[in-house]
Amino acid sequence: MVFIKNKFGFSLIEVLVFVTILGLFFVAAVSVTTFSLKNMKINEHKIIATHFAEEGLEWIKSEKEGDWGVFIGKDTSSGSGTSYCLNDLNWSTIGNCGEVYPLGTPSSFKREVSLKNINTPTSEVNIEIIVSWIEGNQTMNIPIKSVVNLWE
Amino acid sequence: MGIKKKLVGFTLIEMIVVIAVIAVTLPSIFAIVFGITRQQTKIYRISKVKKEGDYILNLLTNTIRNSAVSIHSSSPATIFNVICRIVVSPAPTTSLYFLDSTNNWFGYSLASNVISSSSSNLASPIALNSNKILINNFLIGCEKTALFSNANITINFDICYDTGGKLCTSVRPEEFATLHYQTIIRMKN
Repeated sequence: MVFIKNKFGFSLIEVLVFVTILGLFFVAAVSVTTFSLKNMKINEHKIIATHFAEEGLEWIKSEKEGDWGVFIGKDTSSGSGTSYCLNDLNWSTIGNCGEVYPLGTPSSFKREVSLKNINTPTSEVNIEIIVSWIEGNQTMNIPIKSVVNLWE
Repeated sequence: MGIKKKLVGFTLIEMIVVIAVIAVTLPSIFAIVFGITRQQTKIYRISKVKKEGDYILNLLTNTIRNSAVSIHSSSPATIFNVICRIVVSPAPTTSLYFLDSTNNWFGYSLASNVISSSSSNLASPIALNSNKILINNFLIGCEKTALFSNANITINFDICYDTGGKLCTSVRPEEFATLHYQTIIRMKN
């Protein structure tokens, strides 16, 4: 009799409603947080990838300062452009890098460059550097483009 | 009877349930907060390092490319310490000085993890990086491939965030942020 008269507790419905609201709130909070964490991670990788791309571009430009004749010889194609894997800042790997990502600590980036000679005889070279990395299950990349010419 | 009727308060079961719920939620909340702070530290450091590195590289590139006329090995730059007038291969050092077209000299040097810019127009050298940023392996040199071609200036440096005690390394992966910069500048004059 004592327990039946006590009406200070919650009914089952009240508890269920409360738990549902709390659960929804937590699910929302966790999803927002994971989303923003993922975004921050992507941004961090973008900053680093941009640096690698700029570093690659600086290196290409310094190669161009060396000897123009040698530099334009790097595009061996006739108009379609030549790709190099530029992970180590040298010309030793022609073609793409494949599925290896050796740049950065921890290693997670790769850098490829595509050179395209313009005009005959060549007076300009189009440069496109692409730094790519794997984010979760998708590949992301930072492309930067530039043009160098004979006279500058 | 008076004591039995006073049933205000929580039962043992209620307390156990509440404590169990708190015990489950608190660690996950702390883990999330910790993850966010860690990530923010990393992004802050890497962007600061990149900002200062970009600034230094741009400043050196622009001033040397646009203003430098002759290259000198020590400061103040005079006619007696001119280098790179003949064909030379690069021999990078930690400092290099230049004369501009108005005969004022300027130059860059590394001392205790700081690149400083000195000039005849400045009373004292100016540090180019802030005190939480360290520069290592700063090497600047000149090369000349042919007698009548302009000299090339090669610049290399590593820039990192100070993890304490003038060190770039840390056991925590979110604390270290190191970038490498390098370029070659063709002088205009």
